[in-house]
Amino acid sequence: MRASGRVLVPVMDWTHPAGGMRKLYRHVDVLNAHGIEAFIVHQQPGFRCTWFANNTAVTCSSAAQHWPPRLGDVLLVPEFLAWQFVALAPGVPKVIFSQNAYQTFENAKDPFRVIPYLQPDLLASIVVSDDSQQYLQYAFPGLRVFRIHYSVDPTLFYFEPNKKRRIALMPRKNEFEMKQVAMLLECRGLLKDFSIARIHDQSQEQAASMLRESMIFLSFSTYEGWGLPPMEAMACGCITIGHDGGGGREFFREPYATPIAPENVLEFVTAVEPVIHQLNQDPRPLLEKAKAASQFVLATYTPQREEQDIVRTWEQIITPSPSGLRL
Amino acid sequence: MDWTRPSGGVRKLYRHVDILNAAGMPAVILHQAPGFRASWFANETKVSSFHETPPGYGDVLLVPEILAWQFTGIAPGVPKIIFNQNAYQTFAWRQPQHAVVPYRHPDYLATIVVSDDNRQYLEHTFPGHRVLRIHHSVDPGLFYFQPAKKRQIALMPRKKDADMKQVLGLLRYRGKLDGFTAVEIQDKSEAETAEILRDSMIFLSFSELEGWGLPPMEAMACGCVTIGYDGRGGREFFRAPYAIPIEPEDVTAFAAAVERAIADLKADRLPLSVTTREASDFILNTYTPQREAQDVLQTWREILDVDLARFRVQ
Repeated sequence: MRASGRVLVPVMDWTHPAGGMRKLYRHVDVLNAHGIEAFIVHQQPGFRCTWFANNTAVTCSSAAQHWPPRLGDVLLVPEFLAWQFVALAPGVPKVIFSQNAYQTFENAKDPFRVIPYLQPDLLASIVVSDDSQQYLQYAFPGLRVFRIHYSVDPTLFYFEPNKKRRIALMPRKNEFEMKQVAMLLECRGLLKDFSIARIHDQSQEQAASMLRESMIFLSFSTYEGWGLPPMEAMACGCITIGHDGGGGREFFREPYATPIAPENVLEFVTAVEPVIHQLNQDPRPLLEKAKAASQFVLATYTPQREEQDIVRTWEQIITPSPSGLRL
Repeated sequence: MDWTRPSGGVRKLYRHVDILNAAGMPAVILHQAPGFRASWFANETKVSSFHETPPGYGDVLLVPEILAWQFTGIAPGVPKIIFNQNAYQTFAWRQPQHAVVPYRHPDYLATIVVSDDNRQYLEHTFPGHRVLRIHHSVDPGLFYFQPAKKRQIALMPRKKDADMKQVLGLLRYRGKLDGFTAVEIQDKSEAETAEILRDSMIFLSFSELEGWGLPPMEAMACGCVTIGYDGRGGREFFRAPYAIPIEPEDVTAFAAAVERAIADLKADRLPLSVTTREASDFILNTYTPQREAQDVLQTWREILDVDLARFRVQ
């Protein structure tokens, strides 16, 4: 795939780990590898996400050669910036990368007039799950929506048989429920032999290492486009229990994981209890099951598939021409 | 707590005290600041402060669940009952210094809850702890069926703000509000709230992990087509055919249900398989003030007869 225009991806200058940001970087890497010049556009000069290893093409919005967009460029706008960019770059063709359709209205401004998903300069939206695709097609009938499959990095997230009696969780979301589940387990005496490890503000390598060493991962996902943490936990061979966040239900399912309906705290706890008892008695049967889940995730959500999806999506969105990305 | 903002839980604590006093059992709300009284709903409840009326021999402390952890270190030896109006808040106010679990402390005789859902939560978490259940009531003097309604959707934005934004966003951008206006009930008095509900055709519930769910119950009593989340504690009443419950986080199903209700109302069809008057009757006949008062008194009789004997309460 070759094109002379560029894909510019405006993003926030977040220093904290965010799976969505990592995936935007990856998207740019894939486009560059396939002949479409693409850049992450940060706000501050010199800024780059450093919590995961990358050599991604990065620029900033004050770099004259990259901003403002020129004829032939396309903006790939994260869904939470879509409302802002309606006014910032009118007329510049846009693709909204909606990594979480549930965030569609989060930054909605001026609710009755300018709707980014209905503007003529919007070429399409890209989503990362069937759930998100359904959401956007329901919200904006007729909207062109392409779906790509995320991948899990098999060099970081892989099955590790030597595990600790440890429960990993990410406290960033749904902390209210997480606290309840942890306290209920403690009050019922189930944490005598198990410790809880909170993955928070860790680098990708550190998070992967913690997941590989943990027997259990508890997911408190809520309103997700996909759900990278539970997918990565399953790849690492964690027995994964909890909420699929909506977007994650494609992979967060029996027999590979134990999904719990949102807000059902008691069912959550009663699902964890027998797992802890079983692991205390004889962990082998459950770890075999976790190994199968790891194989399922690693075989289904490969980097190759993700790459193919991105390339195919852009082939359908754009038609290369000598003057740029012809629309 | 000395909350000036409306809180259904505080109103129910006042009501609990009223019921006990009316039955001849002296009871008083203890605020923090002398002279404070919740004024957003009409009441003549007996009110004092912890400073003015410190608990003494023969007294019993009825402690809200959010204060239960703190009170393990206060008034030791004074028998306590937890009024847990939301079991999902059981651990919310626990601080790292609270090593003592109130539900296992010998001063804590029992816990009163307001739904079967909450009873299960506590019985599973603290096996052996005594849990008694009462039924909340709806005030029929304020929350009653009114046939003349506006094309108005009432909602309370205090909880699940992200869901509310999504549901309203979906309805607006799909052009399905169709002449209906959304009215947010926020920081209103009880009387003002009741008036908005009586005037509204639809109520959207964004309840989340509740002990009961007073707003949707009151909306149903007022004859609103009530759609949304039951908050788990509310599933006893927030159910078909009287309401349209939606699974948590299923915002597209939520918006679709509202769309259908609006279309039905505009076409003079029934959005529910019963009339909204029947739904109102169901609430008003099931959750009566009399039943609530009987429950409260029966609960205290059980606790006093059995548990407080060892404290020689007079």
